[in-house]
Order: sequence, then C-alpha cells, then structure tokens
Amino acid sequence: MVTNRFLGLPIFAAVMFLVYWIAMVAVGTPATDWVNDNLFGDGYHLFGNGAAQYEKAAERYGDTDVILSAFAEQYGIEIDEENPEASLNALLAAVPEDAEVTYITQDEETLETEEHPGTGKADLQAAAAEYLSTEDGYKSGVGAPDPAAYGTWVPGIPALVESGLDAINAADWLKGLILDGIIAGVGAVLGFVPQMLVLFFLLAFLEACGYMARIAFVLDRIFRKFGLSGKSFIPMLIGVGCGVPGIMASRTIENERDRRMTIMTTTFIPCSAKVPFIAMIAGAIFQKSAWVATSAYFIGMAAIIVSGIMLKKTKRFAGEPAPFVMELPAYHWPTLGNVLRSMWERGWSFIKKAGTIILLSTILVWFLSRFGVADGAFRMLEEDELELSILAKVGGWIAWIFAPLGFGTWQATVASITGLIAKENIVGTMGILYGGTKTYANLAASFTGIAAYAFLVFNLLCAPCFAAIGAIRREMNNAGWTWFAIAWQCGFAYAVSLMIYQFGGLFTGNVNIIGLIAAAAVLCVMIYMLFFKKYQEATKLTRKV
Amino acid sequence: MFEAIRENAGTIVLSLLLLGAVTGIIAKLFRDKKKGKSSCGCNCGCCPMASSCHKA
Repeated sequence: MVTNRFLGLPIFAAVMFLVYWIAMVAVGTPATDWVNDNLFGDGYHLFGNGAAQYEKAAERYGDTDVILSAFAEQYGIEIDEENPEASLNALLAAVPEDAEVTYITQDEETLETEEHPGTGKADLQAAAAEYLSTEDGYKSGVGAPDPAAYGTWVPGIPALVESGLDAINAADWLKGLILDGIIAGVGAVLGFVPQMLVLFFLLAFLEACGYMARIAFVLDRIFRKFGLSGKSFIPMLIGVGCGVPGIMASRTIENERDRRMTIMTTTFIPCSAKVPFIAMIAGAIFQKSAWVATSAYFIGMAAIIVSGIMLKKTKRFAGEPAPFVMELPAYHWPTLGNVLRSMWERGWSFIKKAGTIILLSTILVWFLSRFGVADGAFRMLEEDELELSILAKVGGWIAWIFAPLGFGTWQATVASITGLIAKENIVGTMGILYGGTKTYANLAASFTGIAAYAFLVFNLLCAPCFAAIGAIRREMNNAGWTWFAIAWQCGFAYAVSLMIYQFGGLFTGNVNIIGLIAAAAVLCVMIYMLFFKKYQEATKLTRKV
Repeated sequence: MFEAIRENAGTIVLSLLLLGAVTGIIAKLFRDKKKGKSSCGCNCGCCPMASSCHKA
C-alpha cells in the first residue's frame, strides 16, 4: 500500500507531516521555548504554581511602565524608584489636562515596534495608579509585578549563576564571560535538545518498523531527477526546524554521493532560527508582507533543486550511478529499548558537542565582540561601544565584499558574521547595531527594499551556523568536503543575492553597469549548467554489488 | 599584595577553573583527532556506511 504508485506519496506526506508536527509543534516548540524562556531565561513557576496569577497581573499591568516613561520624558520629570509616590504626583501635576503623548512598545523576539499615539492624561492617571497599587492578589510592591512573588518561583540558570557570581564577588569581565558568553551561547544550543530527542525518537521508530525503507523507495524516482536520493526528503523536512538534526538525519542515506549532496543542500531550507530574522526584514522594510516569509521557503526549495542539478553535473559528483538496491523488511513493532537507545546515542553526541566546540566558540565570540581599542587603550567595552570591538573592526575590513549585494556596511557584515554563530544572533546584533527601540526605523532608513531582500536571501542561503557546520564536518567526516560545502553555499548565496540586487536595480533605476554585467554573467553560467551542460555520469554499472 | 589576592579570590579561582575546563576541552579535541575518532557520539557502529569500512 505505501509503495503504491499513486497513494505512496500522499501517505508519505501525511506521515512526515505528523512526524514534523509532533516533534516541532506539539512537543518540540513548547519544550524548546520552555528551556529558552525559563531554564535559560528569567526563571519559572514550579509545576505552573503561580503562573496564572502572574499572567493575570502582568496583563492588567500592561504597558504601564512605557506610558509612565513616555510622559516622564515629555515633561522632564524623572520617576524616582525609591520614592515613586512623590515623583508621580509631581508628574501628574505637571501634565496638563489636554496632554497627548505617543508611546512605543517593542516585540521581544522580532524587535518590531508599535506606536500608540493619543495617550491622554486619563491613561497616565490609570498607569500611575497601577504602578503604585499593592492590592492583595494583584502585586505585592510598587512597579511591575515580580513573577517571583507568585506561587513557587524557581529562578533561571542565568539568575542563579549571577547570584552565585555576586556572592563570590567575581569581577565584571568574568560575569560577562560566563553570563553573556557561555550561558547565553551554550544555553541557546541546549534549548534544542528536547525537540531533537523527540524527533530522533520518531525517526528511530520509523526506521525500526520498516517504513523508512519504503519512503526512500517511493521518493527516489522524483529526487533522482535533481541528483538527490529518495531519503533526502527527511533531512530537508527536519531542516525546517533546525539544520543540525536535519544534517544528522542524512545518516540514513547509505549512498555516499547522495548523502554528501543532501548534506550540502539541506540547510538551504530556512530553519526556525531564521524565522525571527525573516520577520524582522518583513516588518521593517516590507510592511509585514506575508510574501516575504513564503518566498523564503520557496527560495530555499528552488536553491536545493537548482544546486542539486548543477552539482550533479560537476566532476565531484560524477561517477557510477548508485544502484538503488534495498531490502524491504517486513513491518514489525520495534522494541522500545532499541528505539530509545538509538534516540539517546544521537542526542547525546549533540549534547557533548555543546559542551566542547560550541563552548569554545562562544568564549571566542564574546571576547571578540566585547573587547577593543577605546580611548587609545585596549579594554573591555561598554554595551553601547560595540562599534569599537575587534569584531566590528574586522567587519569594517571585509564589508566591501558585500557592496555589490547592496549591503556593504559593517553592521550588516557583522550581523552576517554573528549569524554564523547562531542565526538567532542576526536579529540580536541588528538590534544592538541599529539602535534599540528605533531599530525598525533605522533599518528602513539604511536599506532599500531590494538591498534588504538581497541581505535576507544571502543570510538564508549562506553557510549555516557553526553548530550546523560542525554537523556537516562530522557527517562528511572529511575537511575537504566540508570546505567545499561551505564554499558552495556561500558562493551560491552570493550569486543569488548579486542577481537580486543588480537585476532589481533595473526596476528601481539604480543601475550599476559593472555589477549588472557580473550578474548577467552569473545568470548565463547558471542557465548553461542547468539546461545545456551534459551529465558526466557513466551509464554502466561497473562496481560489484 | 595578599589583600588583593584575598579580595579577588573568587575571580581567581573561577577563572582558573574555567581555564582548566577550556584546556581540557582543547586537549580532548586534539586527543580524539589524533586517535582518528570522529566527534559523533556512537563512533563507527551507527554509521550507515560502517559495513563498507569494517567488513565482518
């Protein structure tokens, strides 16, 4: 039934959707969010005890803080946290009855800002009352409700470590290294563990029960057309969540050429870490158009097909055709022990890596971005001196490379580089480099639509984060192939971005003749590779099987 | 001198521990590389190509 010519594909799509849905949406996303927001965030309510009360209080408190500070800024009165009542009264006295201010709120994840104009004195009075309220069951002190005051509060790891570091009187640089460097970096990676364990469990089940073998059979005919194996679909599907398990899932592909091709192309699919970045570009420059995100996935799929066909015609991937010989095992229930062991082996290697390679790289990046020459001396930098860091200097040197793509600034370059550590970093870096709450306005001012889209596409297609590069290195088990994969991904991303920016310039009247010629040349090479170049593949099978 | 050390005892001890951990990690990475061990958790046994490298 599942290998039926017509029914095979829809059944497979349904099974894969289910696997993806369970691993990523039903279990994975809440688990990952929980780890990131709670365990490696501020903290959490034990067994949810007190969470509902806190949420209710936070909802009631709303934008109080932002409203107060907007009025305070407008009328030049500072709110004294030690003695808030007096300063709030002074503020209320200073604000005329017909006063109107605009306050701005910001989304935590995408840094999207929203303006709330026409906020009057009544709103200020309400906000002041909320601020001062110590009503029982609402909040226990003045100011924003403190989650720790409700139910059983367990502080997050950063908070625990911070208090520990304070207790032993650690120096500021050490605190920065451990909190902003190690815990922030390693924590972000460990956040994926629950999601990956669920996914590995389901995949191990599909493998052990004998379905995986049949899927490969069904898909082989389609995927073979652009140089991939029938089993390549699974890594790509998983890659929507995270490239690391996606690349790891390529282990199920026995044929070496197919596996390498899959490893090289899997990360073209935008992973979940790139989603906030896509949302940021869409929100800041394209008025939140849903087409930006949709096109990101289509570009990823097109990149897989195009580079699959192109790579297949290169010498590296030429050679004997891989016979698709496969034993189809009878369906059977796998033993729980087997499935669990398979899951744990794959998951544990990921955790071990977070403790070694990723730990080292977070320390290095922390150092490069937090130290630099300021006021003629090499020292640790403040939060707002990021442009003096070593990372920014290096970014400035190589920013010219991206000038033909329309984003040759050191900020965009550094964001792309920090994106290599983890793609989530792009949003954070842009947030710091383009100035806090005005990020969206500053982005819109420094990027044209075409340049922003070229920037987006480059970051979607270029080399993945170090975690995924590490996975590539491990799955390829060969430095040469790893470098080839990275070079191909970056080169392909550069070529596509170049075409977008240069051909886009034709429509906006911003033509650079040299760039246009280069883009046209790239397009010609691609068309030649796709449609005219012959396959170098042998037609006979010489290898004994 | 002694006073300065005592004031920063926490920082010194912690940074030495961290330095030790980093050295340990680097040493382990080098050792594994020398042994030709891949960094994946279950070594050759769970590689789908194992049968073509380690013929029974």
